[in-house]
Amino acid sequence: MFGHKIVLGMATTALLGSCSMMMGMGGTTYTFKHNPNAADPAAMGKAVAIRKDTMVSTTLTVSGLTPNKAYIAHYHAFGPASSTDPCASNGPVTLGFPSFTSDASGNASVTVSGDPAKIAGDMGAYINVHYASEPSVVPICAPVKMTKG
Amino acid sequence: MFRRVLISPLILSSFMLTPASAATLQLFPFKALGTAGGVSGQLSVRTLSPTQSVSTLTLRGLTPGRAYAAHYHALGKASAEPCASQGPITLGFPAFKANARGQATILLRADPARIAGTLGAYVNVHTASDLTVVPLCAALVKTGAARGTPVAADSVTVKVGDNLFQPASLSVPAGTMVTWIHTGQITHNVLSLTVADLKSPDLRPGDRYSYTFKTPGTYTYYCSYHDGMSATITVTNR
Ligand SMILES: [Cu+2]
Ligand SMILES: [Cu+2]
Repeated sequence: MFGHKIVLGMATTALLGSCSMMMGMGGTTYTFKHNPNAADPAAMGKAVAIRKDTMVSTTLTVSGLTPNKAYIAHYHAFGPASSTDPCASNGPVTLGFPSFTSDASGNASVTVSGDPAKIAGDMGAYINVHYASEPSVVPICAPVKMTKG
Repeated sequence: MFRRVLISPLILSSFMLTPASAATLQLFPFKALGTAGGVSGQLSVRTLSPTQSVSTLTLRGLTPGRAYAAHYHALGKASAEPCASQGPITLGFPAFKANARGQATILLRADPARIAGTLGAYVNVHTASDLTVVPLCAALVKTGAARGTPVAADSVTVKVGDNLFQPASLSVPAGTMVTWIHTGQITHNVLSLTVADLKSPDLRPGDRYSYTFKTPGTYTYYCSYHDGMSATITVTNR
């Protein structure tokens, strides 16, 4: 949803609809929110998606993680469990970030580049960060598309 | 609509024997013929590649220690019902004996072309001493004849590993209960975008989840925790 609009440098009202999202020439920013669980309570961060030629490059910058811990992160499609809360919808992974480990301060940054078609529309509804060892633990999630369809 | 069930170790073991790959797997129940009571079994046909298939017979209720023979037959002219059609033998399984508990598992590797279509219309199990005694038969091709009451639901297992489903592609007749068994180390789940009640809780090592597919169609399911962890089940008409 962000690709062509970034190339044209146009901010549309549709894109301003989500409070977690900001757009400019530097790409589209999605803000991570803490999920309702006790994992990594101070975890926070953002995802910045930038269109580069035919690819979209997304960089997560996260802090407050458990130091030196392995994590996995993904773009997910809108799942079956909710139509209005992408982060609670349990959708399939559409684009995976390389797995990563937080540093000694609990910070991490990871980038994935992928075909925009993989995360277009409902295919890219949210980005989340899981414990690699126990992927059902998802400390933070950034909504990308707020409603299904 | 899902139920958690226990699967007997016997059924499980028959699937553990099959090699892991993104192959297609088809299952056919054996029907007991004649008066032999308590005989049952399943034929699984796994197509590994265009030139390689493995057929596995998993039989129980046979006479302990007795020698048997099993064959693929082509569709004969005697009946539209494959098992009654008296077709010629197209491929033989290795000769075997039932074990002390009356069970047997027999593998046959073959070029799929040799059992394609009506060349592999049915598999029957004969006693070795008298080939006219046929306690079991499994039909592979559909019949023109009207079918009676559907056969009891069969069950099939899919392994949930780290991070893949095995087999990744599976074909089962409608009414089959599929049980996913977690054989890996980390948490996974089984979810569908299109079927609301095909939805497991978090599965941990050793956990099982079952769902019965009633309607023919192609069903894709996935684990919401892992990149690329999805698979397909094709449900065919009985
Ligand atoms: Cu994820
Ligand atoms: Cu998984």
